[in-house]
Amino acid sequence: MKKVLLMALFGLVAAAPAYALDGTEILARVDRHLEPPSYESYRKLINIEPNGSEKDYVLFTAKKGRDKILAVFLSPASEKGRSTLRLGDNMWLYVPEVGKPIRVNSLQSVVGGIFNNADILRLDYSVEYHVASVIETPDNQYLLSLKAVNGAVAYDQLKMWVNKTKFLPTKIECYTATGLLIKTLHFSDIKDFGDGIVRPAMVTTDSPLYKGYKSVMLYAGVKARTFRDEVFTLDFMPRADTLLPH
Amino acid sequence: MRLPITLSLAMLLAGAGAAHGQPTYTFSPSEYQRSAFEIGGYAEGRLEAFQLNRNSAFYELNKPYGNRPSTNGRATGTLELTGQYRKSISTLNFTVHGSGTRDGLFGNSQETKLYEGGLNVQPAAGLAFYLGKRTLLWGKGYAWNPVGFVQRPKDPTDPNLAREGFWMATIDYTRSIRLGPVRTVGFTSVLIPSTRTLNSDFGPKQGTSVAGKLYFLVGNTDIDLMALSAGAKSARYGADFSTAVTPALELHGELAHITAATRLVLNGDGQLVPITSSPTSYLLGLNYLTASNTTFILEYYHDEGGFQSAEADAFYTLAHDAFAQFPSTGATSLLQKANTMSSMYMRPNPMRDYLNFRVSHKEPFNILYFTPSLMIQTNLTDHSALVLPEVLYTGFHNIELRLRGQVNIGPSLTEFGEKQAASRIELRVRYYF
Repeated sequence: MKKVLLMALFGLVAAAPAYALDGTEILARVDRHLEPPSYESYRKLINIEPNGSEKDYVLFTAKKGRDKILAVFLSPASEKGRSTLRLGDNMWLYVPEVGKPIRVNSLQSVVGGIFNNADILRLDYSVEYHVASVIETPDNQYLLSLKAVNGAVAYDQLKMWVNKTKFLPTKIECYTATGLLIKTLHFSDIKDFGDGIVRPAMVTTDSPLYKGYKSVMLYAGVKARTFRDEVFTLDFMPRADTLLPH
Repeated sequence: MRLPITLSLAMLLAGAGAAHGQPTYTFSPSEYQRSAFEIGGYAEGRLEAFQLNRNSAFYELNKPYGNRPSTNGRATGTLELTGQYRKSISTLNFTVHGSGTRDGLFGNSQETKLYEGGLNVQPAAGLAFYLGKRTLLWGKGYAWNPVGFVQRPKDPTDPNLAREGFWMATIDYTRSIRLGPVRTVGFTSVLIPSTRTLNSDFGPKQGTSVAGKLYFLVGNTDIDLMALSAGAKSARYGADFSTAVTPALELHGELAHITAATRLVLNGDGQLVPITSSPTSYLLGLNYLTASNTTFILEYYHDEGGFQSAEADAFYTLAHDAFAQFPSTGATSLLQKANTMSSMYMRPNPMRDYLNFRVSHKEPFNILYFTPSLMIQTNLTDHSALVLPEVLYTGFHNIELRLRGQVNIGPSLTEFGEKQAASRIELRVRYYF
């Protein structure tokens, strides 16, 4: 009897890493399907209020590796020239009028509304989360339960629904450590950006904390591009717009 | 009206599930391509109403005779233009700031200044040369920057206001590295000439100053070491840091040592005496964001070069005596003496120990783009204080609205009790283009 129990226990222990590895592999594939390892993109962020009024922002984004990302505002005029930089857990905001980068954190929002800095300067999911569990849903999706690797990550837990054939997320729910739902991201409008980059061009966000409000993020011009590491430094932030193609 | 209906339809469709992302919007990056020449800026209107303190030292010095009203109004119009022309690795840039003011007490005035303007050459991402007028801002403090050796002093009551630069030549060099916890190193070298016509207000003397700043990103901490050689001002050395202790808590600090600084005081015989010392000043601060989106900033600032309590008392007493003596005797000698000293005592925070507290709450009650805040600056020596409530709204396209008040609290012979205005209310409307 003891032998049987030991074998069963061994079987469970041996099976667990294999299951976790599958989840990790799924998450890594999601990261690479969403973006190349080093790329540029344009994004439009639209905040929609319950009365239908809108305000939008356009950003040019440069990302390199798993933890370096820089974004510069191109529009509206009131925000033009602002840039935000993320190096791992470090985040800074440069405002031309203020004249120097200041530290900001992932829960603040440089644009207001539902998108916060962590959404705008998102690192690879596999950098910030490990897979706690994965199940297959009846509608042919993986449901990954993700847990933040440390307390510096904006959302403690994520539930990510992933299309099984395309390895692209369809929906992500973001939770606090206490299990409070903060926001939900809906991915749609899968578009071929060329060079093998096929990803959702639209992310819609809603939040029970902002009832009736929505924020939309549109992607365009996503393409692989290499950058020097020095692009991702405080000194470069005032000159971030020189990265724009002309 | 067409847009909200479209949006409502889009939301209904989104609520239906399958269409939760039907592209309602179009977005083409082609309209945001960089052009060789760009120009932008803002136009601003500002209205201010003042309740004046007719018994304060600075009111008495500014208006010793004639009409002495207890209220004042001021209207200011500002236009700031920023432009740049890029060609290959070079960029020519300029920022011109012009303003016109109508003041009930001091009349009309206008000024136009080149805030920045010059040539930037960037051969690589980590290397840039600049020649021209540049606003270089050093330091991590919110209200004060003791290590701001190469910049004009900030207004602690409105720290984010743009400032005029100085003419200089700079080289910025940055390298990303992986050396233990060190991720970035950078060096900025600065050459600032000062003559009768160029940077004449950089320091009390003429001469050429050389400055340098060494930057490190170590783990989650920014560290700067800086120095300025003797030239137009005395030599000075400093350091600052800013670190993310937790995602919600940032700590920062600055330390500066000035080899020689002079302040003008009254001795026991009522004579003006310059006192030269080698002061050290420092600042310690924190920035904390709560889960409910409230930000607290707390800073302590000590300036060893500031006036001591007795020195400030002597100045304020001199100003009051000069004003009291003038109407009966018409004597101007005391007024002249007080006016000679006044610029040093009138500068922001001229004494030694201060505390700054600011609390702001972003988007309360889900009102997007709306931020109320309250700032309190306290002179810890004489216990006078400045209270600044403010509301900011940025929800209109390219328009920023700001309403702020200011109340100076303190009895006679204290810093804020001797300010010309007891209180002020300001409405600022800024349009960006």
